[in-house]
Amino acid sequence: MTFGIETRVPFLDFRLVVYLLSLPDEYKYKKGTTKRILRDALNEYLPELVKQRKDKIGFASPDFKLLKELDEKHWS
Amino acid sequence: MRTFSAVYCEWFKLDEKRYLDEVKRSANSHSPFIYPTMELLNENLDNFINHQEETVISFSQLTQYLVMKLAHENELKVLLDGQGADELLVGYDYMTGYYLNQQLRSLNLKSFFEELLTVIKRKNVEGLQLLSYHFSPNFLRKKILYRNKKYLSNRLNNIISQDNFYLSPMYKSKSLTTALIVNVDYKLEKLLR
Repeated sequence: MTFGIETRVPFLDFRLVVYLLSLPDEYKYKKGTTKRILRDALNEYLPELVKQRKDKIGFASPDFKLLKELDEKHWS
Repeated sequence: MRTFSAVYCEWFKLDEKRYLDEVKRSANSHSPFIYPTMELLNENLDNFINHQEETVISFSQLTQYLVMKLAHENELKVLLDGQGADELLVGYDYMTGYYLNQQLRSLNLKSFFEELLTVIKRKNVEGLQLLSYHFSPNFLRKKILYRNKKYLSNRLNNIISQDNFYLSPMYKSKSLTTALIVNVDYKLEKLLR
């Protein structure tokens, strides 16, 4: 909110949440492929590289490395 | 379409720039990146802490803060955010452990071994950890799921591991669907922030 920006979260629309939680497992995961129904739905829009990707992670950051460097360069 | 992303330098092995570039190219989108350097993070740290008003244990939130700043500088007011997709659609590596456990317990052995093979091939350690959790005695369980972060004090590590304890109904779930429901229930309030 610092920058006066409103983020909307379409995946958390309760209708979608209830629907997705009610689906059989195979719609979500099989043999290393996650989010299967979403990949299928976006089949014609997603670039091949993204569609085939199997190592997606959350919003990650190189924490340990950053802290070490901040400590050495800025806080010492 | 316009998108906003943070990109760490190439030395970060989880960096996603090549995927972002590909989306940018195929959607022909206007997609500025922010590159969080030490200087930039340090410059924004005080302001970030002032606004966040609660403890965080990683740089993710500060990175997100910089993404919002980038959107603000581009005069955007409303953004769409993909929060929740991982929780609802098995996006996290550890979740495959629930699936393995479920297939094994329901004696769906063909599927279990196929999935196990995939998990091993992909070096999905977290999935295997969660599977082993279900077959471990209680005193080992905490050790399996929670490792101290070396850059945090013991006191803070203890608080976090205590908080993790509230997640145990999720970890104990016997089926993938139950795990997802408990997970969404627990995380919803955090995701909506």
